[in-house]
Amino acid sequence: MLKELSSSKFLIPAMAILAMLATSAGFYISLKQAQQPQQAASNIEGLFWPNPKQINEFSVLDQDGNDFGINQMKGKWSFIFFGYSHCPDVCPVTMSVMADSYKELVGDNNDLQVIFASVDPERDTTEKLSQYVSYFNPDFIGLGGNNEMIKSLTGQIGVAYFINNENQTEDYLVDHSASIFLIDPLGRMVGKLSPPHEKGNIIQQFTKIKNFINEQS
Amino acid sequence: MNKVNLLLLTAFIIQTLFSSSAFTNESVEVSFSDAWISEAPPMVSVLAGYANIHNASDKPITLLTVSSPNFSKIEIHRSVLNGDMVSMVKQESLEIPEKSTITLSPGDLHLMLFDPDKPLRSGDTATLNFSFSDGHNQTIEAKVARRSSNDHGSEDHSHHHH
Repeated sequence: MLKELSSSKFLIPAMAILAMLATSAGFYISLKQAQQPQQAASNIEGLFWPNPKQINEFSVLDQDGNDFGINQMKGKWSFIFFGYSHCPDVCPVTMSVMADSYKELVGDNNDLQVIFASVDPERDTTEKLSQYVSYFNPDFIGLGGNNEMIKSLTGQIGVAYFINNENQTEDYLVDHSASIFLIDPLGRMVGKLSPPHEKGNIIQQFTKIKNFINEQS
Repeated sequence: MNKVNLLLLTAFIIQTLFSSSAFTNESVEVSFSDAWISEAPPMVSVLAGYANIHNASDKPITLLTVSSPNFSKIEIHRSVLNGDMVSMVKQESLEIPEKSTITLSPGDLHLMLFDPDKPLRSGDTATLNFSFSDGHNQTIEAKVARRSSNDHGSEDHSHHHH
């Protein structure tokens, strides 16, 4: 008698709690699904979304002396880093990390290009750029040209640089951006990879951004 | 008997000479490890040098200059990130506090080596001469190595202990 009473006494609240739990779990799952696209965008480090900047026409020279503009970026995923060959530390560190990342990424991504854009028109001749980029990887692209050309590209990306040559010496230094910018096949700047650059992070961030952008179209 | 004494005396003098010269070195208590120079791409006449500098003594010591018969000029630099911009800031000297190690590593403190006397390729070595505030100099051989993406932090480029 006592036993029967206690079991029925606890059965009803237990069932009620169970029902409430089930309802709220279902509600939570549907809520999460509805929120997923928004959450994914804010969870991806370095992603510029929504409204990524459309890169418009610019005019520079590649490492073979050919014209290079926005059309050479369309249809490809471009990593672009701004530096100068007379830079002993940050630039070659970044380029060698890029070289190792590229080697790993290129198998699954046949639409990649890695660009080193010089912000030192005086010293970085076409020939020097050609030897510089191919040292890291023969596929890499080196961009340069005269001051005006370089500004047409840095202006589009929105990066600053500063040539410290008040004393007119040969060994001047240049301040430049330490980030790697990511341009999608539609010519939109969809991401920025911030230093310190590390192969694992570059691969992971690129893959997430690329998958996200592909899901949007 | 006299002969033996003379022999002992000579041995004693030699030993004193050796230990006193060893002592001059020992009193410095600065040592280097993992010194290496990054190979530069062709046509590039500036290289970076990295090392750990240990000060085992109980007083700070300051690195004043670095020179080399293999380079026209060597400066101590630090790559400094300011927002998105990176600059190299020349250091006039570098203090190594007592009982500690200063690490010159990629993307941070480094030696900027100008105009090598010949193209340096991976496997070559170059001489680096460090002058400290207490007046002593130390010369090491640093190996040239190609950069790899593991250069951040714990690299195992070389094996120079002096």
